[in-house]
Amino acid sequence: MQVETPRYFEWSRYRSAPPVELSALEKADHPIAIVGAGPVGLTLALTIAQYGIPVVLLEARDTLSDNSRTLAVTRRSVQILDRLGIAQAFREKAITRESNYVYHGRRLVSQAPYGQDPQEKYPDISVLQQPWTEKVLLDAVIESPYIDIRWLNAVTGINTSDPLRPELEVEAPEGVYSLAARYVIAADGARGQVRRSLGLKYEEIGDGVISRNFVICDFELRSDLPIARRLWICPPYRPNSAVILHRQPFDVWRLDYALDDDEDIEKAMSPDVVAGRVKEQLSLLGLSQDEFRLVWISSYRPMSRSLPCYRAGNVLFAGDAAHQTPIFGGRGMNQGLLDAANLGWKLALVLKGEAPEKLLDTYDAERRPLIVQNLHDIGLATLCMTAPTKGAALMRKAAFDLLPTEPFILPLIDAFNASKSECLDPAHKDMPTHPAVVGNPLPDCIVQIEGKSAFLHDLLCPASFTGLFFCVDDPGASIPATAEKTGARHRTYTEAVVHLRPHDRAKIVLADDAARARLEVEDGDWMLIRPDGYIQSRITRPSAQEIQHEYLRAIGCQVEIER
Amino acid sequence: MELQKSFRVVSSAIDKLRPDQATDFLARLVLILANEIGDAEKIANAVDRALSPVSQGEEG
Repeated sequence: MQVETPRYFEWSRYRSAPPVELSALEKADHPIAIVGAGPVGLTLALTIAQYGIPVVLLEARDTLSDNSRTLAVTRRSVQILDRLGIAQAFREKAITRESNYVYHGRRLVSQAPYGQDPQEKYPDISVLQQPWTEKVLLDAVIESPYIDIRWLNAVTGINTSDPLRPELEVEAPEGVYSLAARYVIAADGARGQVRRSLGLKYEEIGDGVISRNFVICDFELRSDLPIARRLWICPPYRPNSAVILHRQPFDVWRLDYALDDDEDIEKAMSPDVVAGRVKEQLSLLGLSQDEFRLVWISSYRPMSRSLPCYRAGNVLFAGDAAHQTPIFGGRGMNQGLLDAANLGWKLALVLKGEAPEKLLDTYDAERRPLIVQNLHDIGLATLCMTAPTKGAALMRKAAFDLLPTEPFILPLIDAFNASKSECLDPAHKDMPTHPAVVGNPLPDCIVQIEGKSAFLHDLLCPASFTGLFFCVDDPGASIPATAEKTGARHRTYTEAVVHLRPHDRAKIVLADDAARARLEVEDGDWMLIRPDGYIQSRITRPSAQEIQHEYLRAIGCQVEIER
Repeated sequence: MELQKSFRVVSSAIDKLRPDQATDFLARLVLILANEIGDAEKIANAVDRALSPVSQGEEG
């Protein structure tokens, strides 16, 4: 058995023009340089470009990710793509994960649908190979007049002797040059040159997690089986182990399994051994064992690490450059996109002169505690499955033995839906997913816009704060003018009026009681939604001064107001 | 007499098992009881108390 070239994606080789730094007499003055054009760097570049700010995007390779990598894309990530105007292009390629099946031996012990909440515009989990996700982002980057993407431009070092203007050393095909920017964003992955050049080290988080190797392989096979994630506990060919099978788009499948302590990883990754595993698995599904093509074999050892701070002067870190999260439960790339969404608007407002520089400190203050909490949660949630010690191995065997008869065991074994809190307010972090409280992402719901069905998130303006004003009757003059609310120099605030019931002059109406209950809104409620979708403030019948105060507080101007 | 009844039923179950099965049985029992109790702090406290004779033995 050979590993063959995948057919689900055609990788192009990209070229870019010679860097201006090699021909210009004077150094170019760049506001932002992003290192790494993976999904995080691409998302961040697009987010900043939405505000009309030029971005240089440096990428050492000349192509997109060379294998399927992150498959599960969460609703929040697709909402971020939506704000960038590319969610539709993403969804045209992606498939929706419909179900989660759990087997014990040959027996199906659980079949649960993934969340298909009618009040949400996007499904709980979309599935798409990472090169496709990157292609969707890249197409938009290429269209943007503000993004200068430079392929085969490898960062080899960084000089921060001028802390306000870090300078990157870059090797391009045309020569070596230096590039200074007001802010450098490292989105260059776990082995990124920026972090290493600055001598910054990750901290281990949690119980040191998971000293176990996993093998991962993709194979192509036509099948009409439902689009699901399938977890086998104690498959007949390998008792006391667990195997995960993912359905991908374009007739591709992924098999993912842990190795035992005494297994030789080189041998376990040989195509013949992996193909044997695939055949055993296909046999369990009653599928032909002779018609698949192996297209990728790799291994990974889950990491649980974070930098102690995501900002070092004017250098900021995002995605795997800032933290390495185990991939279980769709945490890797998805957390990186949340970094990009959080950081992007802050950088943009600071560079536009609308927000004070200290706003950038809130990126670390907001994102790192969530990442650390996630790392603790996932370490705990996967302890049973990874069983890194003899005690955990004993308890895992007990859990496996009980699974067929004791439904309560399932969450212990299947960590996919383990807590992934995104709430910025510690007081609310343990609340269920949907409550529309300050610090949570805004829940979506169905609205009618001039009689047509749409979603609340469609009202959120790209590259802007959005004030949502909920009322029963026409608010008329009760809504003060926007300029008055936010101050003349602050322009990144827009407003929408949402009626709680149909009304003669109501353009936008909540569709039903379910939508109203989901938002827990009453007549006169006002919400301030950040550009990254978080609820910043909630006030009933706010004055113009209160609205202005909340907006300025959101962009880091609280002290100025208090003075 | 609840504790006495519990003592009897657990010991009777262990008596029916081979020695190599007893550890697995007790692990399964712990998981079921932990779920019934539903309080990780109580379990952690119980674990400490159950470890106590081992610790004292090592100190002695």
